[in-house]
Amino acid sequence: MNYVSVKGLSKRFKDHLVLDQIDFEIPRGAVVGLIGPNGAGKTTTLKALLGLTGHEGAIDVLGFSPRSERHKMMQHLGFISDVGVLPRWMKVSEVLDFTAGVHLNFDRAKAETILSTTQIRSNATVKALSKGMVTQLHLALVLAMNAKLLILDEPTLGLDIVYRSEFYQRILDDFLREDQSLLISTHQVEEIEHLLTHLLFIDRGKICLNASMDDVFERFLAVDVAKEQIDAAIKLEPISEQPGLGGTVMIFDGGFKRPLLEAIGPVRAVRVAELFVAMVKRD
Amino acid sequence: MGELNGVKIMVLTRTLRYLLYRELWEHPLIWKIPVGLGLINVLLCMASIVLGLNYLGVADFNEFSLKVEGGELSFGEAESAEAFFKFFLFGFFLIGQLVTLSYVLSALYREREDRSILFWKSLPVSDLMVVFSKAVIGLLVIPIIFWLGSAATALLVTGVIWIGLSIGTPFEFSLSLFYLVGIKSLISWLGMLLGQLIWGGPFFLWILLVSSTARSAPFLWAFGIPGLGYLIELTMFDGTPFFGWLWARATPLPFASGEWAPVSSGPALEPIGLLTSIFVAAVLFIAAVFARRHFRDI
Repeated sequence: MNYVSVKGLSKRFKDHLVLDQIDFEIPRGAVVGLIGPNGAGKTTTLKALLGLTGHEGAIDVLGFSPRSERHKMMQHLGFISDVGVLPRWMKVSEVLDFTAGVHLNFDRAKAETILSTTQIRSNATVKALSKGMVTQLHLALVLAMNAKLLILDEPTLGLDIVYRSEFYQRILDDFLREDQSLLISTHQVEEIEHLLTHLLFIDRGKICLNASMDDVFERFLAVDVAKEQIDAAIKLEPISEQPGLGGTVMIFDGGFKRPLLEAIGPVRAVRVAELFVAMVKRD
Repeated sequence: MGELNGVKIMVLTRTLRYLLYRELWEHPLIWKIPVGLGLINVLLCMASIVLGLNYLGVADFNEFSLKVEGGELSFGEAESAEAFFKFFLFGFFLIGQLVTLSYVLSALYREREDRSILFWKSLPVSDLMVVFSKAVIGLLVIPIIFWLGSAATALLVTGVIWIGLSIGTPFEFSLSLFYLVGIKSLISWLGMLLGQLIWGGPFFLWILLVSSTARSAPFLWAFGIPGLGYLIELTMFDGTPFFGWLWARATPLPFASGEWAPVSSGPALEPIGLLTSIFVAAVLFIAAVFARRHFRDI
């Protein structure tokens, strides 16, 4: 069962084609990383999924059309953009009151329990909170919505490492269940790599990789190649060569090459960041 | 089925209630201005009473004397009471209209310009409900809050004057008669507010539509388009059938009807005018909802 189904999604800003015939799906229970360089079309894709921008093509999110049924869809969907989108004039208590007033699935007690583990006071205004606290507050709200699908767009941008680590730990502890899916767009790939079940690479408005992590690990291999083996490795057509400690890290597309690669150097699972650089450079 | 509709209505009512709270939290001037005006009036009145009594030399409340040449002063007459209450009703009403204008002009424009629009749009609230809540605040809540402000101020000021005169002068006026006439004026003013809602509705909803669509300078669009349209109508037609009609509705009803008194009939409630107003207001409202949903990608 797919929570999200996108077919032929295109978006044009005047003469500039930002998204070009994108297709992808997000299955129930999946954690999908939407990875791409700046200007690749990640945020536009997320906005299209949220019904915040017009587009061509068909989008189905949780059985709803985002553009015409956004308010119904949002009953089951949580969204956190980069830090600072909570209204600065609001008090924390008002944010909770309002969300509880308009969101049928919002569990206020759960939000308050999460907030009790932070230093956020209910009578503080959002503008008085630090960036990290605003993100904690927004995360507490979203986790208490018991959403089926959570969409995160650079949620930890500008936060220090402690807040970033706590953020993802909280998602692991309080969100991810079998029937909940997560779509996350970030540049800090290393921090979410262990969470992901699927990868979506986007570059210049096109999807350049759409695969499950199992398929990725089966298909792509990283080899730490010593200097004397470089010529032999190049004959096996790596998709990327990246300088590494004491040699070169080469990425190969094709799990069938494993026996040949093992003769060249230690073969290991490819890291998402390495693969991303390889795919984007190759395109 | 009936139960389902009941639940739906309950949910919509609750959503609307919290949307109205949101507006009042975000725009506290909506209630702070009438409260402030009321306090200033009461304080000025108290100061006037004390200064006046001092001037009369009776601040010590012992020796009182006041001579009136040419007759007696009389207080407590119905006309005085009505004029007194109308003063506050008109004053607060006009300031309330300016607050409404400023509110509807910025309501959807500022919301869209702020990054928090991503938060508001991430909640399960329809564009229809959001625009409706803003229209309700502008067209209904603000006039009612200012009406309540004028009522409280008029009643308090009357009480202060009554206390001052009772303590410091031999004049008497019937507080109960004053209040009776005053309260009657206050209630009949509600009829005028209803008339103003229908009369001014199309104009304020036009402003709300501009607020929902303008990329910049909503004030210029809100007044520039009807202004230009009016000039074009004047040049090309005999009369000004549409923009002239809209401009007329920018004038508050008591001025438009030519009656400096609470009116509950006249141009606003004349059948064809009433239906036309409601129809145009409905079209502008639907356009504002459509614009919030589809115009200006976020």
